[in-house]
Amino acid sequence: MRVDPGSTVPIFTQIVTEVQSAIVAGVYAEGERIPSARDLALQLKVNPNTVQKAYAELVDLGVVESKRGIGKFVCKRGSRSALKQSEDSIADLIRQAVELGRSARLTDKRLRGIFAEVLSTTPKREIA
Amino acid sequence: MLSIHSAESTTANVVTNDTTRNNENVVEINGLSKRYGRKTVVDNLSLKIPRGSVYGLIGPNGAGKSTTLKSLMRLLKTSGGSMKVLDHDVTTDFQAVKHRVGYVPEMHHIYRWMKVKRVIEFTKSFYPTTWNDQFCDQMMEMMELDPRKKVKELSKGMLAKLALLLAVSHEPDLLVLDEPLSGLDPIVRDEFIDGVLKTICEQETTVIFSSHTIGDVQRLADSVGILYAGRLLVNQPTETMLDEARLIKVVLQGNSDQPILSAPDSTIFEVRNGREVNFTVSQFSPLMTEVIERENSIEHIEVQRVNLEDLFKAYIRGAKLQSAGQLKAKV
Repeated sequence: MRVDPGSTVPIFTQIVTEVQSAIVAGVYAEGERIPSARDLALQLKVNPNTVQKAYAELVDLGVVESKRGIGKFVCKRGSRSALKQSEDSIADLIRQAVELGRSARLTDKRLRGIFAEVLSTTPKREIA
Repeated sequence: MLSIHSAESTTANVVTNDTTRNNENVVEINGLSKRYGRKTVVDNLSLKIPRGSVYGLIGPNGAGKSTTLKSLMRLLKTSGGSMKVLDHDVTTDFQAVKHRVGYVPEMHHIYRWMKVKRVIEFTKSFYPTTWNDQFCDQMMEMMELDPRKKVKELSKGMLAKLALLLAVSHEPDLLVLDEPLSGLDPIVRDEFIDGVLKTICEQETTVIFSSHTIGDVQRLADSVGILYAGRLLVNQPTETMLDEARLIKVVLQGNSDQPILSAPDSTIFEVRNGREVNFTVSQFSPLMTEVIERENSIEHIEVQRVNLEDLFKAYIRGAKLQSAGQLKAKV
């Protein structure tokens, strides 16, 4: 997992997304413990308060659950929830792209063309 | 690495030893001013730092960051306003809280002829009850400090790490870092940040630090204050700041005879360049683009998120223009 401090996306949101992607990719299986907020903070070199807030958000989203005194664990259907969340964020990004395209007066046909082109020219990346 | 349990037990000890731990704000600055003759260096600055949070003070050189932190540490006489640390008035009662504060100044004043081990012993003697040997040793190991070296043999980075270790091993409630990372190489920066993070994780320390490196601020700070010419331009949680700010890029239609496109509310900086107008707003609402589209002949309008660096520059440039008595920038 990594965060980019130069991004327009707050670190908090980046952590939520990164943990979700890791769960979707199977790095953390259902029922498995995710790193403690402290360990992840040290690994990413970010404020532990921010990681804690991100974890609280992941609890609210039904992706992980708290076991008192032990840590945070991926929920039973956690990877499905995470996948749903990821799809929502992807849809948001595509929506932004579509809005940009519409304001540049591109036709839907052209937009689909661009999307297909990007899809076919972007190499698949293994998620670590 | 320590387990969570040991971190929790450390915290528990601190809680029982400390009666004022439940206070909301560890730092409260109200209307701080500092003048040298006719020159105002800090101008009516107010901020609050809740317990356990990390506050990043950013601003260009000479903005008043160091002066603010030095005033808070009672190293300067202030010209006005009041400051409280852990509920004690800094001006009249700083002695009462001095031992509960850790301070890493811009310039480290550590006895050059002493060995690192001796400096640590010496500093420890000032904190007979609160010094945590175990934490100190762990920090020393983590930041790769050699106790046998003499202070004068230490590199700039090593010296910075030693200064941090000396400032946190007595488990202060408040840690004050003045430009802690400036001039350090990337590896040392990471080690220094690790030291600060370990301190925050294990001691739940409240931190205020100054910096002009935006990335560090975004990584570490819960809240950010942007300081320019002694004034706090903005004081907000880092996430709120990024979530609410946007850059609105407008291209007006070529045939319209230069309509007066008025700046949306919360505009912090605007650039007008012929038909192109860019607004950086601190509190974006979709209504803004609707209004711009309704009231003007628009060829193109686009809204983008901004990162902390762009936002920082927008605030500073906006403030510069304002102090120069201009409202609009031409590029």
